[in-house]
Amino acid sequence: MTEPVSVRGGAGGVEAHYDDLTAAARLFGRAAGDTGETAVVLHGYLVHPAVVASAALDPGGAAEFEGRLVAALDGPHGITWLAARCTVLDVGLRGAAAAYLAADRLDERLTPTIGALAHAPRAIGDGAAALGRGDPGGALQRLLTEDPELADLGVGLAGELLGGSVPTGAWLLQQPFADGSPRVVDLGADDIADADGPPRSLADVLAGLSHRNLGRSGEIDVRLLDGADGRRRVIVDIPGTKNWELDAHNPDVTSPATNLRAIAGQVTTYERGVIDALRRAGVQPDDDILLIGHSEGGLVALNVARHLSASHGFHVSHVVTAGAPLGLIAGGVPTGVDVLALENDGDVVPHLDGAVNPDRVNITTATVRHDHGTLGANHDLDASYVPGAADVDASDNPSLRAYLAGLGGFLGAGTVQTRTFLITRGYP
Amino acid sequence: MAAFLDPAALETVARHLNGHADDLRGRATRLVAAAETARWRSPAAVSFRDDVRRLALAFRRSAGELDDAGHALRRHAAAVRRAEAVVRAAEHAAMAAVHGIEHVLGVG
Repeated sequence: MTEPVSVRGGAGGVEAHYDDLTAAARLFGRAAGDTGETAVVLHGYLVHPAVVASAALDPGGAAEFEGRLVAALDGPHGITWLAARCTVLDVGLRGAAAAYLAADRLDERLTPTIGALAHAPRAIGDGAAALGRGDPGGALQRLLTEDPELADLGVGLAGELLGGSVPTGAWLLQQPFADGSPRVVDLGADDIADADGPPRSLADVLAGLSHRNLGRSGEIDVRLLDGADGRRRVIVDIPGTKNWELDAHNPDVTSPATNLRAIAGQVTTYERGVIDALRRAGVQPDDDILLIGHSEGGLVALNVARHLSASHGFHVSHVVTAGAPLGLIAGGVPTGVDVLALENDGDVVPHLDGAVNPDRVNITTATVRHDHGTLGANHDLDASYVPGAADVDASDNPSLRAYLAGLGGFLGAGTVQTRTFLITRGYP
Repeated sequence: MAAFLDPAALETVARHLNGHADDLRGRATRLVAAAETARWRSPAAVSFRDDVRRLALAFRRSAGELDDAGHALRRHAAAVRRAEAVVRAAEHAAMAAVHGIEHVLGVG
């Protein structure tokens, strides 16, 4: 039976930092050289003129000294052996670092291809059946919902055709759509959201995002949580794309001008509006912040975390994304930020960057399985990602348990106060 | 006999041995720290860190053996000094005896 959640990365995964391994290897190499030199110098003391000359006066003492020095140098696990052992560890570390680097590259290049090929036969069969029924739209939906990794291949190919890579392609495509500057309006408290009380599970957290998603385009909220430990924590809900109009000047920050920038990690007006909302809500630099975003909102959440960590303006400790294509930018998230990427198995949107999420300790990708047979429902918060979050809550996977344990402060608050903000894009 | 007889040189060698022993202990500490702080987590990393901890123990054991060799050399140097003193005293006594004989014979 297929598990309801499969997991990549996180605390239970494999972590290997190439730079750390090569730095450690250099240290072992230097230790091997230094220890080898020490052995040569110490062997010289065995035939030191003062030692040799003095042996006639105290042969027993000289013999005891030489015996002890020979044992230290050439005995089992002696200094000569230590030098050789350091060399072995140096070579082993360099080999491990190279292997991890090669595997990482291979994994990130091959995973979409392998996934696409694995699912392709059934997807093509179901798509052909729908086409046979005279339903080309349904055929395409079946193809993509059953084999969403095809999107990775398609996007990768399109990126190469456009500019050599997906980020370059995104940069070329974004040029007609100006990003403007943020206009942020405080919409006040949301008593309806607060009536349910603070979240107690990941599913509750996602339900809060879903509630915000019902609001206007560009509407976000900042949930201020007072913890039993006396600390304040903050959850920021960032909905995704609601406007697909390809206008050169579009005041809606959830439009493609944001998508095309955020997917490549660029700062966007939506992102700057979120940071402005944090300031207006009175969030303090030492408040722990959980950013949660759906689709485009997930990209914005991750970019806020990346860019805020560099400026040290606020303390983002956690990010949760639902159905967001993070593969190109997640590797740039600082190690102090723990990311949970929820991806529905049949949702094509997480594949729109043509890249898989990196396998890192602080980046846990949880793939849930809620296939409704349509692109919209597979990407929908209520239909797929809130139930997917409940699957994560119930999972005993070590990476997910570790992530939820880290989220504990956000799930045990005594009170919650929600402030809503409207972010729009302005043009001079 | 005593062209190279130099207990002070033996004590200098003993000090060098202790210095090398301290270097080995410092090296062990640095290697363990590097292994522990490297961001590497996997079954292979666990095995590697076990190896490094064993290596550090071996470094410290060798350092202890070097210290022992240094102590042995100091004891040897002390024995050489004592033997040297006995030889000098014997030389002194022999010289005194020679001078006494010369004095008695009236050849001094």
